[in-house]
Amino acid sequence: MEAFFWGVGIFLLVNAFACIWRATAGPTVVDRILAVNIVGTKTLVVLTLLALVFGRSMLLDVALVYGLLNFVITITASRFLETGRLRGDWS
Amino acid sequence: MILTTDIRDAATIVIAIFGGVFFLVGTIGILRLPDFYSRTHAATKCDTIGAGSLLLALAVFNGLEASTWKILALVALVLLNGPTIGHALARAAHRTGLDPWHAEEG
Amino acid sequence: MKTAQAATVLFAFWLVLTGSFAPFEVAIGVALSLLLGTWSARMLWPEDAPVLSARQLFRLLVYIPRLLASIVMAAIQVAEVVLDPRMPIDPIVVSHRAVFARDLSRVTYANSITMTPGTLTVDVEGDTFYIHCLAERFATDIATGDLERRVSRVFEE
Repeated sequence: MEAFFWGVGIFLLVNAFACIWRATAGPTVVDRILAVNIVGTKTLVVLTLLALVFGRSMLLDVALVYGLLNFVITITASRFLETGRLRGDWS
Repeated sequence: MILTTDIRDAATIVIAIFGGVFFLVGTIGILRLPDFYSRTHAATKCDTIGAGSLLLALAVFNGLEASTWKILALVALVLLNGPTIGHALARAAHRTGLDPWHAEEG
Repeated sequence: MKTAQAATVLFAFWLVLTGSFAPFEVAIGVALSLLLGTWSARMLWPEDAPVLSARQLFRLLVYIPRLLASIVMAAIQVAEVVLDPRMPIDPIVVSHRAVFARDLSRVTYANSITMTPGTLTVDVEGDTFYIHCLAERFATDIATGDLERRVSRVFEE
């Protein structure tokens, strides 16, 4: 099972690097933010895999915080892009 | 006891491969589709279902332990993440005046 | 009421994180979730949480698996489009008017559109939903108002 998990992890990392190409190529800012969010989702799954393979449940906490930060950062970035400010009403 | 472990491992592999295929499709979609809005389709749907089922596979593998609840919380987070991000970014793009791509006529 | 709801959710999250029922940790969890619940009910949500009757809650619980099934369908459909070498898409943005009484149903409707094959909610202004479709054939399910009726059956009866 461990070999299978390593395989899945490497497959996910290859996918993540392919998405990083989209983040560098753009062409628009929203494309880059979306690509970074997707790389974050893949990293989250890889962190969970590592937690199971190494038997460290601490990495699960890292994955949880990583996922929450990923979500909040993307929402904040899209909001900043749309309104140009971070506080107050959305529109 | 060995039999149940085998069934658990088989279920893990099947669900994980199901998720991995969708991850691959999501990546190809991100690289191949022509504009931001169509890429958001690939990102929200394929990536949500891919990450969700891969994490579900890991939860099945982990069995009945306290840390399984953490993995299930991660599944809920990922399922919430996909559509919300898609909507927020598409709205930001729409309001800042990004026009969707159209197929050429003829 | 809001404080109690927020504190309950936070305490459940605390139990997931610590994974133990040792009296000391449970006590710290109760104290922290009450503190954070009071703060978040005051600072984060000025309005009351939406009230659901038992019937609506039951319908919501039936609706969620259907939504999950439709994400899988949507993902398979995106896979078909992406893996086709000709890439048969012709995206259009359509606007659709759907009148709902509650914000909750508006949110659910927008999310359900995102989850149905080939469509994505781009913007919501009042009752008008701007929907990006990968091709025109995907817009029919929304134009007939099928999805709209399903959502309003969950929350508005």
